[in-house]
Amino acid sequence: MRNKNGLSVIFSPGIVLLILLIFVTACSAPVEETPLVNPTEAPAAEAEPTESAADPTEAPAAEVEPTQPAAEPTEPTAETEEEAVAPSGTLVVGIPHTVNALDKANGATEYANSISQHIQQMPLYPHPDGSVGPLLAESWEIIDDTHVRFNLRQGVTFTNGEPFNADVFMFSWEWINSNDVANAETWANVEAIDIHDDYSLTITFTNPDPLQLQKMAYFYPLYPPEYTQEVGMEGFGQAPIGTGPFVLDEWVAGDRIVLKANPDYYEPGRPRLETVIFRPITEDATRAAALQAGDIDIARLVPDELVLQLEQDPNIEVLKIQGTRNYSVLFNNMTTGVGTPIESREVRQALNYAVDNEQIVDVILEGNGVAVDSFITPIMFGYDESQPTIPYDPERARELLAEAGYPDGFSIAMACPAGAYVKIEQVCQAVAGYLEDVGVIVDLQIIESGQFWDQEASREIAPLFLDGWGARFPDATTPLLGAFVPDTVVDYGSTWANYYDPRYVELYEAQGFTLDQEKRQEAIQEFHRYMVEEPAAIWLYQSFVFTGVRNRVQGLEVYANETQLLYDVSVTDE
Amino acid sequence: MQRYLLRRLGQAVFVVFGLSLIVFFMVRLTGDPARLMMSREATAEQVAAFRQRLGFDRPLLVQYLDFAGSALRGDLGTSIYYRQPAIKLIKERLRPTIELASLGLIFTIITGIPLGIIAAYKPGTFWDGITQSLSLISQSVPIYWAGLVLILIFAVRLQLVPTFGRDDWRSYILPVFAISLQWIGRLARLTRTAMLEVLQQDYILAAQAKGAGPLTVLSRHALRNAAVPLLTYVGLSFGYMLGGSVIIESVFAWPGIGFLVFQAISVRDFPLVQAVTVVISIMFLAINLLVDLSYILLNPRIRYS
Repeated sequence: MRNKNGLSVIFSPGIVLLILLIFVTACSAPVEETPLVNPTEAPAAEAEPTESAADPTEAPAAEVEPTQPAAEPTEPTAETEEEAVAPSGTLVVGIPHTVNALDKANGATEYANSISQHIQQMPLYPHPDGSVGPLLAESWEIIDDTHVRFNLRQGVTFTNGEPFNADVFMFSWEWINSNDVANAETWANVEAIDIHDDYSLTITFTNPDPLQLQKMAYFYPLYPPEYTQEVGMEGFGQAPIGTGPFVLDEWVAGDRIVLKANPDYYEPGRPRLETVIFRPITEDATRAAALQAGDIDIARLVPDELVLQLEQDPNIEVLKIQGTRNYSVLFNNMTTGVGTPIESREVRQALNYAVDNEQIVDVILEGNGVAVDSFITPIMFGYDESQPTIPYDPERARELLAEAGYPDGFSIAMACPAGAYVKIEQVCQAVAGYLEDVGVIVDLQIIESGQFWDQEASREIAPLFLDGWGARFPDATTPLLGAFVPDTVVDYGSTWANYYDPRYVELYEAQGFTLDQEKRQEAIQEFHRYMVEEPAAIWLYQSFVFTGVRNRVQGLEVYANETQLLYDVSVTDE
Repeated sequence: MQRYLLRRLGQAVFVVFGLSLIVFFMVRLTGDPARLMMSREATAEQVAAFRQRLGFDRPLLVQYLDFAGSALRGDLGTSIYYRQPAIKLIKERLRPTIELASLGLIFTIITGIPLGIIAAYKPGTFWDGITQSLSLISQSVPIYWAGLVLILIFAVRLQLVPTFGRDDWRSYILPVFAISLQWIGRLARLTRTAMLEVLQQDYILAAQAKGAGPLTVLSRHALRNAAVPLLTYVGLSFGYMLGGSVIIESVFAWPGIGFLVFQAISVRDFPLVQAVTVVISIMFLAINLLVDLSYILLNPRIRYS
């Protein structure tokens, strides 16, 4: 047939072009057996396997010990015989956010902070499995729950020539205290610093914190006094100077951050790379495409739906690790939930029995997650397999509801943060579906995430609300503190979970104020049992975190908490 | 003419003022920046202190007047996220966006206008059909999808260009093409329509009768007269490309202000969003003014009073 211009419509060039375009698109998904010649990668490199992510529960890393003598026989200034391998090669990392400042005090994302930790160092080194090792502090001694003595490494200088010594600790602490910083945990909890001599000091902590040493590997940056005072906080954030294995070479706003190896770095054998370039690529699909094309070597934060596509590429390996973010449907028993059925323990248990969280993980998350029964999950410190779990049992759920006085169920509202997390709306709907099966009618409110968190913070949120809480360390103490412990009890607590149970607070206190790990283990297991018996939420799951890596990258170990250090990473060709 | 200019400038000021007011209130409707900026472990006190430090606890009108006052003095506020003056951030990122929009504009013109001319010159033929279909496709294709498809085909599969970023001349190819896509189609159709109308005029017949070749007829006689609506359109599209490059820049990780403002919005960096809006609206208004003034060059009979 012809249109009014006399042109054939069916065979018009436009339709043909359209079909061609669709055809080309469909065929362009790069699922192929033979890899393309990639200009940045030698074909021989494919044969080498990448070292996969460390299993989070076993890594040959140094454990936190009560006393640790100055162990390593490394001499910082002299070159040891074993290592004369100069750093070489260039690595390009694609990150999902731009960097706002390269300063631990003000970095807004873990990506910014990971990069800054290559330049600016902490006293201790964080390992992927959550343990810590010596860095600028060679050894340390736990004197008691609030006193730790540190022995510092000698002969280290900042890359601008300033010496590193105990005064640097004092300066850094005072510097953070006298400035407005965005990250409140920087140099937090320090009561006093006693300097004994140039290379030893004792820190007195205000509160006993079981994770204090772990925090010393993340939140206690050391600043070169002269330079820092000269450029100020903002100046430092744009041009940091530290003791680390890399120096900042170039920072093109929004485009790239280029690090070069520090030729005078004090640890032999580190770094292995000559150049590392970080490039922000906010679109997930573009970041994955860049990895496939070889324009980047590491793609941080690969979303679930792109994992399969990347895994099919023989030049790429997708490393996965169980993330610490814990997703659960919390009960607001402080405001909107008062007077509703959720105040009853049987009801809360019933709701847990009603939801099949394993099925949710298998179907909605396609297996990319682990079902959990409390905040203490398999990757967290103190977890014990023999702890009780809450299996899927709708019969039991109905029994419990009847016992509680709701044989016909009830209605209740539930809030869901739209777009905040992967597939969260589907999870919310699945939960609502399961609850409906046992007679609990859910009024599901899908709210824009900004507003959702506002409501959560101001305690206006619905009696049921689904949210995720990440922890920097594989240890439940921080999420427990933030979720269930009011700031009247501990001054940096909060109750974002909008759930209050005095026994939770007691149990927190039992494990939260000692560095004695055995005592903590018992207390944590007790807490776990209690969280199953008196649930503060419908416990759901923890999800996996994926990083895409090209085969030429060696030695990469993935962290569960979005940090990524590249001290020991190398590349095989170039 | 002077009065015309003054009036236009006055209108521009009014528009920028109104726009900044709208954006100012709109971003604040989306949520409390203090709560969103701080980690959830922050206590209520810390959030309140943060809010106070940034002045978000003051009445909205006071906040706005403060912003407007500083803006008039050249201080467009400080970005909460980057902790740098917004002006500095914008200056750093402006050039890539201008490059992208300019090249996009040039590409749109050299592709769209000839296509439209060909279609007008031979209406109802195969060429006309191709042009119309192409322009339909190019206008209908969603930019985000188009950008990703281009990347998949030309960068990943064929390895002809980089996947993202602004590195060397090859980095410009896909983003420029992607940003021009929808405008080419529209410009082609507009050119075709304008040219068709002009080609029917008597003076065209006269020129042909005088022995002018097709090229002369098309360029000197037809195009020049069809140019006014085309110029309007070209000016508008440049303005849109400048301001609307947000999607393209995000897809291609192009380090311009579109990318900057996209990130700013997602982290609720109000001052930066406001600052970028003011800057872009000023540029847009300036372009419009230039376009209007350029009519005089094209068509001496147009007068402004």
